[in-house]
Amino acid sequence: MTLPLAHLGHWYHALLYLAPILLIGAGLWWSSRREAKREQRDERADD
Amino acid sequence: MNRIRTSALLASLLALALPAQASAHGIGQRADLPIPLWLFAWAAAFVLVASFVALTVLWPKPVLANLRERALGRAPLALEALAGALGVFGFAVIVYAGLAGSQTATANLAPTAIFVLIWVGVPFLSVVFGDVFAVVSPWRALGRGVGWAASRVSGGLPAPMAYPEKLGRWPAALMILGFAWIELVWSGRESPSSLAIAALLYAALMLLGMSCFGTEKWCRNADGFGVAFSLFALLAPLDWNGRRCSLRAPLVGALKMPNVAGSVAVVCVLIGSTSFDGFSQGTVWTGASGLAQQLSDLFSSLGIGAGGAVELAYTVGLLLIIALISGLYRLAVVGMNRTGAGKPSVDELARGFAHTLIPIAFAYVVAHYFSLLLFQGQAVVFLISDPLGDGSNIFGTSTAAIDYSLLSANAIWYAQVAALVIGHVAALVLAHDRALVTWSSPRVAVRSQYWMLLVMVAFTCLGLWFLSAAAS
Repeated sequence: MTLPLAHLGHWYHALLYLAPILLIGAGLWWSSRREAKREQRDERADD
Repeated sequence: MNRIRTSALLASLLALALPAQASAHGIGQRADLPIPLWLFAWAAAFVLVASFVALTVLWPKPVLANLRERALGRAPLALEALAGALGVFGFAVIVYAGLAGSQTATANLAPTAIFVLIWVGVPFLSVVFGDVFAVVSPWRALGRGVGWAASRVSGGLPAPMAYPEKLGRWPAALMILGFAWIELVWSGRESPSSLAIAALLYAALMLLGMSCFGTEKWCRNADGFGVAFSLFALLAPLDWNGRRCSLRAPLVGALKMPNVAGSVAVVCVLIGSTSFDGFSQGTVWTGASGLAQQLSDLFSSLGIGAGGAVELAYTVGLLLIIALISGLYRLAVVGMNRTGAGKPSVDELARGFAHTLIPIAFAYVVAHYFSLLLFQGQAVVFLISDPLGDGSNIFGTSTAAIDYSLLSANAIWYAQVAALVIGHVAALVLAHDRALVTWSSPRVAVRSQYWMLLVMVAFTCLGLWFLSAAAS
């Protein structure tokens, strides 16, 4: 069994549907990290 | 951090560079749509993110559980009995047509009635009028009828066995999977007589189960059709409690989804099987060197006959797509669990948020089968006059034809995109409200939903990719 790589041009457009997921995933990851750091700072300030 | 930013920038530039080549190949694009199909996925993702931000800002407290229903009235007992009798009569007609009528699928009432009218039409009716299938279900009507007759003649039937709670709705999930297999994989699906025999076997299984565990208990947990349609009915503004009817806000009913074993499996099978129907029409699956061909060749090389190899390839595809949908939902739940520092548990969260998948399941039904219902549904007008396909003309409509000009291909595409976006926004609303109930800190509740948002975006893009693959 071979992967259908030979006709890459006929299926790579599927990656365009993956792009928003990756972009939003990256954005949410960055946002949650920033919030976690802010929470840690707040906790330290409370102590 | 700089390296990550550079990689993200490069990935974005690459993604932006690809469309020109994609349109040059004319892949996944209808000739007269103003923008490429993939751009709809980007727009849909933007709508979901905007909805999420709006929910975070404008919806700080749980609301849905506090909304009240308004009593409307009570349906007469005779109407319920009549609906049940009609259900049994309709089932008998479909089975008779399948067994005794023409064996050409398009000329016989059975395939259209089962795959279009019941499987696609009833969900549409259910989200408007509530659980209509419960009153017309032929096996439930028979079970209740036998129970009623027995109570008149001999003081009632013996008490049924206790239904194993561990089973929950797993039997229904298996039944839906079985039906999806018949619809999407089985080579005999085109044969009306084979379909009629399958329908009879299913009815016999339902009657056997009801006689062991009781009509209501069995129908609520093991009847694939009954369970699937009852889930769609939870979205309806009409709520039926027995014969009592009340009015509620749309979506609110989803909160009443039973929290039992197998609930998640039922919705995942519903979404996964519909997704596979779309995926299996695209070139990635059906192309000359597509996955279906590759898998069939693999199974053929193992000594399986040509027909069996194709069926096995499609079975693997169906199971893989269902596993993909289940895996994505699991990912959202595990992410939520980590955000909430391990509480509630993953399983509790999986069941607690399963109701958010109901609008998605319905959105997938609309997106994938809306045009089928619109066009093939018209065939009922002539099939009802000639159910056996033998040239009879009972109601004088046997010469009617399907009007394919009712909606343009573009209008159907816009309806499909709208259905997917609305369904996923509805799911986000349900998940946001449930998160505010689950976690006392609104900050944790919102952060837990990052995962849900990501999975909703993934579901939307996946759905649009499948649709575009089927359209191209």
